Amino acid sequence: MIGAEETLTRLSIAPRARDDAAVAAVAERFARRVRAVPPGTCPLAFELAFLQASAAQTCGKCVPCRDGLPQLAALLSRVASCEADEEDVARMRALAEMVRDTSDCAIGYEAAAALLDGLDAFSDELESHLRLGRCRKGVGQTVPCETLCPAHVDVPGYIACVAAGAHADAVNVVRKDNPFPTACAFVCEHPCEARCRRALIDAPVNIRGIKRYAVDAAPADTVAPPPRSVDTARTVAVIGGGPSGLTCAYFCALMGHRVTVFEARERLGGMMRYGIPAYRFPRERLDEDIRGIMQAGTITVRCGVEVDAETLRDIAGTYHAVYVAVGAQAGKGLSLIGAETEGVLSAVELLGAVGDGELPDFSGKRVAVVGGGNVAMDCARTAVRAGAEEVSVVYRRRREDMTALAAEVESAVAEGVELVTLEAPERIECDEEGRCAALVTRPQMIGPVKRGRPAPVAADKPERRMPVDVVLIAVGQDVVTAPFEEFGMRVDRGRLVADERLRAEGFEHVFVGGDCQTGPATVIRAIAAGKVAACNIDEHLGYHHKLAYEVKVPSALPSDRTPMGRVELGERPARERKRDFTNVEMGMSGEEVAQECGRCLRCDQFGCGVLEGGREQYA
Amino acid sequence: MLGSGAMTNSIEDVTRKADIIMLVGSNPEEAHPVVGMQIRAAVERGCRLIVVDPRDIGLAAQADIHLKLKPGTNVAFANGVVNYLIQNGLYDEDFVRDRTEGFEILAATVRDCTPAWVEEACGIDRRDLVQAARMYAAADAAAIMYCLGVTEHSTGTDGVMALSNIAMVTGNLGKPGGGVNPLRGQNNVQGACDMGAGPDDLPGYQKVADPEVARRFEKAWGVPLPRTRGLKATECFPAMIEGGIKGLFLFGEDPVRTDSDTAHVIRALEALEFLVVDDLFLTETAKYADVVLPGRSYAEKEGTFTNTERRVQRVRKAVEGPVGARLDTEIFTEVMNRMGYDQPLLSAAEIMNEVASLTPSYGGMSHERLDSAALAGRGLQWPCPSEAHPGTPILHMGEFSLGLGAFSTPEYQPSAELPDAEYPLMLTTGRVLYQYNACAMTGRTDGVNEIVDRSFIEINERDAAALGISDGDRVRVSSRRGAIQSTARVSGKTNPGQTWMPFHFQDGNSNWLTNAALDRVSKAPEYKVCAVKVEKIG
Amino acid sequence: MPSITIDGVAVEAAPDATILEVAQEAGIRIPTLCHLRERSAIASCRVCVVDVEGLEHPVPACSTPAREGMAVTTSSPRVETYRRIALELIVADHGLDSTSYCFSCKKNGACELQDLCREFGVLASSYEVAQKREPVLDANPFLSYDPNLCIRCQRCVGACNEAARNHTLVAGKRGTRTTIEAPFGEGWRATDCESCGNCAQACPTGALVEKRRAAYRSWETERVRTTCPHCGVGCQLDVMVKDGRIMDAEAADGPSNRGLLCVKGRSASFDFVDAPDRLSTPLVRNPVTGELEPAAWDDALDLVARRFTELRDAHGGESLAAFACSRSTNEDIYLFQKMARAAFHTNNVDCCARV
Repeated sequence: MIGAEETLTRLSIAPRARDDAAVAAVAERFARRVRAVPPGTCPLAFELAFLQASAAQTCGKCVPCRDGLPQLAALLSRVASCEADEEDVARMRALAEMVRDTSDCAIGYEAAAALLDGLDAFSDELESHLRLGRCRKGVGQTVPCETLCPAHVDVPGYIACVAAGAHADAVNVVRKDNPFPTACAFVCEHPCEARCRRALIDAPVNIRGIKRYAVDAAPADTVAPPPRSVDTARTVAVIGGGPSGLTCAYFCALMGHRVTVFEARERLGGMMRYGIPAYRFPRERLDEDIRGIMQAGTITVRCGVEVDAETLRDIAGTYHAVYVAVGAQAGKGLSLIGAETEGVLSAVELLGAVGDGELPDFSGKRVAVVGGGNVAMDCARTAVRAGAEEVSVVYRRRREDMTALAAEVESAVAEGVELVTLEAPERIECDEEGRCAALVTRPQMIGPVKRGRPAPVAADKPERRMPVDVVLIAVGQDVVTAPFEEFGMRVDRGRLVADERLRAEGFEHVFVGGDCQTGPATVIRAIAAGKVAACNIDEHLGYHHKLAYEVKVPSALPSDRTPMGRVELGERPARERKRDFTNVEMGMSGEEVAQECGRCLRCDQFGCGVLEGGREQYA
Repeated sequence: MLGSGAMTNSIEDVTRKADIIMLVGSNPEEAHPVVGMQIRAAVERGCRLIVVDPRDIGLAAQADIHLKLKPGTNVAFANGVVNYLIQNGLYDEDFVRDRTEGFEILAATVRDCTPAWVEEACGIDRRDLVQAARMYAAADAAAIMYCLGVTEHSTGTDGVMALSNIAMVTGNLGKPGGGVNPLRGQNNVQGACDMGAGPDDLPGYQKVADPEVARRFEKAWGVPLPRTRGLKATECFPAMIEGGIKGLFLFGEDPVRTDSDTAHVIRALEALEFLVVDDLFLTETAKYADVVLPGRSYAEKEGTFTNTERRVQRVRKAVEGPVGARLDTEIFTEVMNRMGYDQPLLSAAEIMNEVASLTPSYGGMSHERLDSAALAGRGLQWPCPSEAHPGTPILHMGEFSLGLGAFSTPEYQPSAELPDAEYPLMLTTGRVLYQYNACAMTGRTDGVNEIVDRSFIEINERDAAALGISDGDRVRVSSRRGAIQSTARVSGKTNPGQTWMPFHFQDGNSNWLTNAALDRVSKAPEYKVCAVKVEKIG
Repeated sequence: MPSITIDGVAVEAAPDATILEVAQEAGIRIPTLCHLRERSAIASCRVCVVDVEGLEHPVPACSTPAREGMAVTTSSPRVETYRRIALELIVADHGLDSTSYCFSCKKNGACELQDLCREFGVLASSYEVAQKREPVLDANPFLSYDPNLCIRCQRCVGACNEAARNHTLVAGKRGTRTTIEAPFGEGWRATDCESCGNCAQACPTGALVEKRRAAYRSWETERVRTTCPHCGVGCQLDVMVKDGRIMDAEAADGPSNRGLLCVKGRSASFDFVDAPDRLSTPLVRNPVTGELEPAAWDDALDLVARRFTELRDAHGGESLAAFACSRSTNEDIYLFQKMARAAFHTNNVDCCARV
């Protein structure tokens, strides 16, 4: 029987499922947990959790989803616990295909598709479960930040030092794996934060911000590096004075080897000087890291030396080992009509000139930057600072598809840069004097996902003509490979080829790393490569040097589990900063850094961090 | 008027095509449950529903408007609607001009039935009446459905006519989704009337008083026929007491249980010189018989039923039945032959052929055709005058069966017996979902008895409080004609001053109470209104 | 009207028709399980999947509208595999041992799941089979629900909500644990259930059944199509006859009932036929004792004819009357009124039209 009060009225503003709002909170929590999946988790166990979560979402209508997903989970559970055989896997695949192809809605078919993709992606792991009855080597949880830092810096360690006020110790904890604590404090893309376990409670710890505090409090050039080993009298040549080359030089020097750095430009630093603008990474702060590195031991620097094939042969014949880390120095061009017009520059040209102190004057000019990466933002913001009247970033996808960090895009917009999205550059028009007059673009619409990203397709709209005086092309960089190819190194798809241990193919004592091996990437990946190269060169030279490490990391107190906001680094106001090259980003205050350090869960000492194999460090 | 008491439209047509259904004096969820289901579906597809019923029947909860009028005031309500439509120009002028006659007289008759007057007469809010009238008139296709709540009154025929006037002034006759649609009570009451089981009519409503008709039947049957109209059953009972009727053949009826004023019925049966009952069971009535003849049930014979939408459908023999019982047609044939009328023994199919040969509206019907693949079990709706005729799903398309549609001019008369100081409550009777009439069939299924098998009386909370009666109390219910015991169900389903009882249960049969006051035309008794008093026992 | 091909045969499709409807109209069989016309079109079981040219994956025929130019294939190795997997999933849900592998199931032989599994060669499920031993709800006098056998197709829910529109039977719990909340347990009296049993007729398995099924197997019975003996709606029904007894009734798709029945039509329309108190011999009142006593047919009929003849001849036909029951057949009533008019010479003939 219906209650009397219900017959008096028909509708209610209350949600039908009264827990939906609370479920949304759980979902957010759940999503954070999913995003923070610990590195090293068994992929099949994770797929199983995915399936079970999918089964929990079924509405209960269709057989393939309602009955199929739990059956798939049951089968996968056997696989995950290494009880399944080939026949089970065959049945699971057949069922998954049926569920994928016949489910009504995405709850069913997407779950099955994910499983099928997972079985392919994790075929080695699957094989291991079936044949060996255990996970593949390397599966097993490790401390997330440390693992995901390409250089495997002991993050919890230096956070603990900062928390204890031991800032110099913090710098040396970083330096144990990375001689660029300052560079990484300013410009690192911080992959260490991606799966920070703190996210389970609230949000990842602002690791880079903490490091910034450390290097502000104890500048790198004021902190002595650890003592170097005794001289080995072995010689190492490093081609390229960027982050990778200098890292290699630093560690080789600490090991007692004699290092010579060959740098084509006038000064050291590579893209940190000639790519990243000073308002993001002040040059004097870069110099702190470089001075710190130079304290490591015998490092001879030879700037202004353009290494050609001939020189290479000399070097290779002279030095006991060679590390090639020349980066990706050539700006990629676009095959646009009018690309040779006066007023059209590549990002590399512009930023390189700025690195050498030659700031162009864009006063009164209209500047268009083509591209959507961090370099495009750097160009746009540099153009603003060079006095341009208006600056537009022209990009053929959507804003959310830009590869630039969201914060970089936001900062550019704040400084007055206009984003012109879903427009593909078609040609550049010039005036009678041959100077750039306009950029003509073809409107795009966003289309199907290709290789994980939504790809644009030409839209049925008329071309757009943007009157501009300067066009900056920032669509990527190429490696200058010709001299190395001539020298005899193998090049594949524009990159120098090396194995995972960075030994150049066909050479015993030539190593390759950084952007020239991976293609344009991040500072920290270049640093990681430099360190790998240094260690492997040491081994190649017949040594097994252990580097001195004299920091005592404070032990962990019980974690504070109270959910707490993440302290973000502030920026100077746009109207103030956009006319100068002074650093934009501001560091944390003392109380902020204390709070932020307090959020670190010390995974080095709780959870898997204390397990055998639970840390991932080089040393 | 419209002729016979059948649905003008089909169930499917009404429930699928009507934009509005006005349901008057009908509780299809319990009395015609499968129609009830289809009305629920209609409401859910967006059909509007107006319920005109003194009781909170289940469908009232789904109705756009429920007019909970006083029992016995249907004519007042319907005349009020007609008057409102005429006064406000909401009637279909073209339809009235082209297809009807007597409109001016109708308008004059109902002129005083203003909303204020209806409010007084029916005990409903005048604004609801106006809203119902406007809603009905605004619909493209408006259907009226009614049941015994309209007919079982001393003014039942007037009630039907008054409702028909509503449909006719708005042009809702002869079109899909419209019509005036009685839900006939028993499965073959339509067929029984069609077949001439009425004192005025030979099969197909051919009048006994029409010499042309009589001659045709006399020729076919080879015997002179009485030409004066006979008495309706309800008129026969007084005639039995008075001695005019001395012999009665009752075929399958149990008036002791089912007819109003049981004491009166028993007196009549006892006054008879000779009573024959042909039935399946030794009923309450059969106990008064001189001869009881065991007949066969529907499951033991071939034949046809005609449903409320005039659809003739087959009944087929499924089992043999008890040894010793005989086909009823065989019994009648035997009696006819033994009384000197030479009636050959015919199969059911042959009888239907004879029906078809004498009854124009059944002219195209035969068992063979009803069984044919061409009909695919859909039966045939009369009129179906010839083998080639597809039957008639909707009556009065294009023109009325009797030419122009004549408006009747019924005037509201109160029920014959109204509550007074001695019998202060009004009693209405009706059906419950789980039983059927005297329970002769349903009462032999244990399961339905498990659900409900005892008499009860619904009484309004306010009256119950005044009488000191609580839900579930045993009560004595009495009228001028008799007294029974029952169990009180106290609720707000009826209005104060009104009670309701199911008529199925012998442990407290409401027909000891009901009034045998007859409608002047149909001679239906006023089952739906009588005056009673209710007292707590003990 | 869109034109499509099914297995290479060109067929015209009614507007808005599904592939299944078009196929059925054209006499092409596509196996189905959860689909039930005018009851359930939720498309849950995937037994009716078919291939459509140009689509990567098969689609359920019951829920996919036919579109101009569609080329449908009703059988392919993939489609057959998927149907078999669907059946195995359903069987895993249904379980087999709670009825000793159908042996003790009331629907054995009338189970659509059993039929389909036999057709597709599914003898058992290769998936984990639920070991359910939930209590059976069977307090309702006519209906019972065994959740252990329920495959959650929701045909019963459609029958109650889309057809009977009673809105009593609903799906309970949710997601993978979806079950049917059948109002047949203790407390059934307090529900709005009308015991109409349309849900049971819709159930493809032995989960929701008329209790009467315990007394027969459908292969033992003969179906006889007839018209319900109760109210004036004229519902078409099939009575199930076993050894000369009506065991059960099922709704037929008649024009006025569209496959529906009420509790009386389904469950209370035939027990009386062989009730022990059926009269099986004429009774004549003994003038001495005043009691009704068994008599021979001839004697009884003679007496009836003689007494009516005497009264007719002495007092005229108007002294006789004849009332027929309105639940008799047209043929009975026709002959009855003919008897009254031709033999009794009276027009005092009526039926209980007003009762």
